[in-house]
Amino acid sequence: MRVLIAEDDIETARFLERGLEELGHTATLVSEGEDALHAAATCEFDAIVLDRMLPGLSGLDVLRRLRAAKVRAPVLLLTALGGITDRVEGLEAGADDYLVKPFAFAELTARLNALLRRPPLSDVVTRFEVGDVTLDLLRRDVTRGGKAVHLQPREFALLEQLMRHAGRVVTRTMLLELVWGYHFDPQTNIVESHLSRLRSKLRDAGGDDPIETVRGAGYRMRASG
Amino acid sequence: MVSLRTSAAYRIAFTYATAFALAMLLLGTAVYFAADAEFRRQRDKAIVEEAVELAREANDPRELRQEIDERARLSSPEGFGIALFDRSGRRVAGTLAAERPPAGLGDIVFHDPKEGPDIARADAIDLPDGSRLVVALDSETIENIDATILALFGVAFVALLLVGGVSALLLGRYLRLRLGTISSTARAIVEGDFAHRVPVSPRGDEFDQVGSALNAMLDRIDQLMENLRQVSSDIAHDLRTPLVRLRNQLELVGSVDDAAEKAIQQGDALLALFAAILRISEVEGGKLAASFEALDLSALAEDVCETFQPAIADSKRALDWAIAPGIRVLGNRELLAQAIGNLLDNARLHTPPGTQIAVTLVARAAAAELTVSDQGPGVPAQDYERMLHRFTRGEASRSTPGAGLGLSLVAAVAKAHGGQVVLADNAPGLRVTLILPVAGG
Repeated sequence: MRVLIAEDDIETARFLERGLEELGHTATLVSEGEDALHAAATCEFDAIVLDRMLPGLSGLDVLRRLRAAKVRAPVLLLTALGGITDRVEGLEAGADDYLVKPFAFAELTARLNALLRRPPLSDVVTRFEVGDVTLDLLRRDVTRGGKAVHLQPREFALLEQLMRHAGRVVTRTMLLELVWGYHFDPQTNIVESHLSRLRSKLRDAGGDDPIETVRGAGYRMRASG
Repeated sequence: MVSLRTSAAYRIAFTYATAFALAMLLLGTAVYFAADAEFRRQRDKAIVEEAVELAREANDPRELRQEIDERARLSSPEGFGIALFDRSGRRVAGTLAAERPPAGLGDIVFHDPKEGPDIARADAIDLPDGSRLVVALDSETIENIDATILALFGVAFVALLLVGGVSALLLGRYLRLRLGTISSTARAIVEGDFAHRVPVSPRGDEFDQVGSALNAMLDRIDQLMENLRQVSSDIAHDLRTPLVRLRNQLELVGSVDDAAEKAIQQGDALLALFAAILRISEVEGGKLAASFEALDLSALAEDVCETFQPAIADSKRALDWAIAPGIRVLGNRELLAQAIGNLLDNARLHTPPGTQIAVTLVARAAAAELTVSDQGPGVPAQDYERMLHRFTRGEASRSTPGAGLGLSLVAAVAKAHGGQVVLADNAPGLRVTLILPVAGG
């Protein structure tokens, strides 16, 4: 897939480019706001990684103009500003996700993957089936191999996010944001503890652990399990 | 509340009104005496002139008598009283009912047909034939004029006192209103509304000048604070960029070397510290009020407790909670969640395994009180105040992880929400209470 990287720090940009190309993607680098706007308007990209503090036209201005010009490619906004109002501003300007620097490369790719494979808004999915696990959002029930699995609300939400992204890595911070709406990282391992309870309940229903831990990255629901 | 007695504005206004009334009293007295003297002089002059004019006829005594009788007949009661006395003191012409007075200008007693004996001013001239011509004017006229002047001044003085008093009240009120806008601005700024400014009218009077000067000062302070924020933000940004590169480089080698993994973790701890400092600065900046919404604190606290319970159980401590339902506050959901989370982090980090941790939420009067208490080793009371400041930690916790920013963030969040954090002895253990004002209460 083609990714536009608009980042004024050359080293960070190169690092992102190298990492994305190692994963088999094509990256285009620009370092100024006007160039980003021009590139996004002339070529079609599958995703745009946009730094918030670009020389010339700021990342937010680029984003607003892109959205005004009906460029719908998902935008991941990168920023050194992690303030509450900064994030709200970014999302209001039309960003699809927001990543505060510094970040692990795995975090960036996990979020890009989530953005790229996001189904269109009209396509509402209410039932997920991965391997022998099913999750029904309307009936709020989970089965494994046909057997009901009783989950606490947060365990249910965790499983939902893992199944939505089945086969792909979901990071701890993504889970904190998606399940709890927390944009901070508590010193207490809340994700791990809920996840371990979810795992043991799924194991108790029979079979192997369908959730794998990807070292240094996050968790992944085995697509065929 | 400032009373009439203690208000400088009213005191000044009343002092001026009193001074004005005294000046008016002095002026009135002076005018009264000056007018009285002038009226008397004019009257004497008129009497003398009348007498002299009549005396010119004295060459012909018969004509003089006719003239006198003619004038007496035409004269009104307020007009001249005229009489001609012969040598023996007998009145031979005129109507003035009085004894023959001595020659010259003086006061005489005459008989007023309506009021009896009365005082009049009279001039007596001796004529060549030995008779004495007397021209008199009733003094009552001047007394009436004097009384009228006095009455007028009396009414004017009372009116002045009333007008002065009312304008003093109005002026005092006006001064207090103008000064009030300045003090309410100062209060608003103390309460965190840094954008507040003193309203300045286009008249440019003294108050507007003071207001403009204060506004200029506030703008300057604002600018300095903005510079400081900008500098902090720039430092954070500039320090983060090399840290990002460092982290990137470590990630590239991390897959083959376990030490690199450790270094990344250390770097992440450093970056988390940055994030915490920036978050506290953001909260203390006081600009988050715009993001506040009415929210159900009970539901939020319940959610945080349910979220933390498994992890706290996994670390061999127990978490219980008793939360009164439906307590609403005005605030930022994420900050409040983070503050409660920090309190739970602290309770877990600074207590030994096996410790009981309890969360309670109650509404007391107009305040919501969220308490996190543990039965751990506790903290000496003299450390309470210090613990709410940045980077300070209880002596006993030097060996446990964390940078000592958890409680300072809680304190900053409480303050941003118009509340406070209170530490107390749980006997045994520590009890931390987050007090927030209840929404709409």
